[in-house]
Amino acid sequence: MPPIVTAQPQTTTRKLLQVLLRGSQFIVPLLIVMLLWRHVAPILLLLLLALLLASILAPLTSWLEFHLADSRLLAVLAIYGAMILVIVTLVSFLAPILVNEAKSMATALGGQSSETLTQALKTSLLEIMPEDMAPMVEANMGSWVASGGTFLKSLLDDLAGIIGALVGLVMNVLLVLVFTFILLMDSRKFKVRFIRTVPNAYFEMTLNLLDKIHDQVSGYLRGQGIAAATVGVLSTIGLYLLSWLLDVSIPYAFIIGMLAGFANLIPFVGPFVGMVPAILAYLMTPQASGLQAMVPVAIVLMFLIVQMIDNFFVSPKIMSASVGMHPLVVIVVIMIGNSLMGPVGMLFAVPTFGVIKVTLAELVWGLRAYHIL
Amino acid sequence: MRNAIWENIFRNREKRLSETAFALRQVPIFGDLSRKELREIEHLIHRREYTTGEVIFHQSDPGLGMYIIIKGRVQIANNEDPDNRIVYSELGDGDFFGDLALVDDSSRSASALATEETRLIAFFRPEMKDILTRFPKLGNKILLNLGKVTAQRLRKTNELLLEAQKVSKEPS
Repeated sequence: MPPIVTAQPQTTTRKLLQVLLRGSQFIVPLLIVMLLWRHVAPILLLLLLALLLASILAPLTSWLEFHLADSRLLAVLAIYGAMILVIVTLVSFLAPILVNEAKSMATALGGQSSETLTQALKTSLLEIMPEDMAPMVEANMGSWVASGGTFLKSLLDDLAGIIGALVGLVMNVLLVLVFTFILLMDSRKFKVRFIRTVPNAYFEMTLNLLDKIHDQVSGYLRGQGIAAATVGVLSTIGLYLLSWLLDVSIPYAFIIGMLAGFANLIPFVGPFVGMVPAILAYLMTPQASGLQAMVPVAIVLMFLIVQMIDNFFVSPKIMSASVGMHPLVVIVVIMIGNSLMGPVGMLFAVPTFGVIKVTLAELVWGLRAYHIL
Repeated sequence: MRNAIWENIFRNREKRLSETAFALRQVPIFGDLSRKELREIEHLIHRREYTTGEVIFHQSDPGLGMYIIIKGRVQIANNEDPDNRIVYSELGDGDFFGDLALVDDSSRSASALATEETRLIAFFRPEMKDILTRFPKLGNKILLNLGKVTAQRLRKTNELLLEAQKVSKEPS
């Protein structure tokens, strides 16, 4: 029978020094970050984006390193080369469409006063509605325009906010690419170094938690990305298809499709963000065959079908059940996002909350499984 | 003369293996991996140091993976309480334990604690999953070796069971 051993008593000073030494590696940088939060926050956001990009590209980098390049640097450079090629191709293909649509939308909206736009909308509605409903349209147009104008203004503000944020991001793309390069080169070292500082007692638990959180969060973000891209692409195709099938003009299909894709990040509200501008774009455009009441209905139906495809076929396959949220929670979260960061906050509130929820769920699981809670 | 030359060449090649790669090669699960494959594993493992009496993992903790002893001694026991402990085995340099947790996430069946200053290499399931996704050929090689080790243990357990049955059937 092997001898039974007991833990050697460590002096309190040694233990305290060990704890302080290990803890200081995190506490000191954390305190600095808290003190300089206002200056650090934008860089942290860029770092977060770089982390996301690096986690997407890391498996491919490792595969290239192992199978082809036998050098991490060569593998990362190859990925960057391919990425630049894809971005250049996409931009040269999509940018002209986007710029043309944005220019014509700006001309259409900017060149007219609100009265002219209201009058154009009233004429369009009177044209497609039955004659006996005309007095109701005449009587209520003022209040409709007032409330619709507020909605449209907030919608355009949202759009301006989002575009502003995107322009800001473009300015920082270079920095994100540099961060991503460093992370791709040294991410394994970072993880191993971080784990090395964790005390032995929490070593397995920390690794297990990191793995589970990474799985859940990357799955959730990937799912959101795929769902948004699906809705965006399907909405654009749907609008082009409707224009072709009904022989009408629904302008800005590409921009509206993209907007619908982005807005899909906001549950419940998202679908309407694509639907309303599409109907307005149809009503405000002179049509060769005159306005038809069935076109707005067809647009609504098309967006509903896209939502159904997303809700029944795409999202259930890619989203984890653990991120399911009650509608009330979603509304509250969106309102908090709005009050914190405005329209951009609304857009990113639910995904951010999803990431926090998944992280906390895994943390609680870990603390229970390792008998700490 | 020729043998001496070849031996010298091979010794030099062996010398170039790091201490970690050398330790990995002693373990049947990684025994037949190439240098390149061992280098990949080296990027993914964790090196830990434990003081005498320090617990490596507790019984009933979720199992996460295996440990290889580079230097030191480890006891596998039913718990950490010195007055009420049944020691199942004591392991030394080059031994490994917890390997079944690489494929199975059930709880640890025993506790492990260092009985002297011990240096370990840890290789865990997330890294194993990572290898299986990125390098399926290497992952399959490791899994096959793990299967062989498990089969050997099962055979040995069957033999012990048969012996125990024989002993119990013998008239006292």
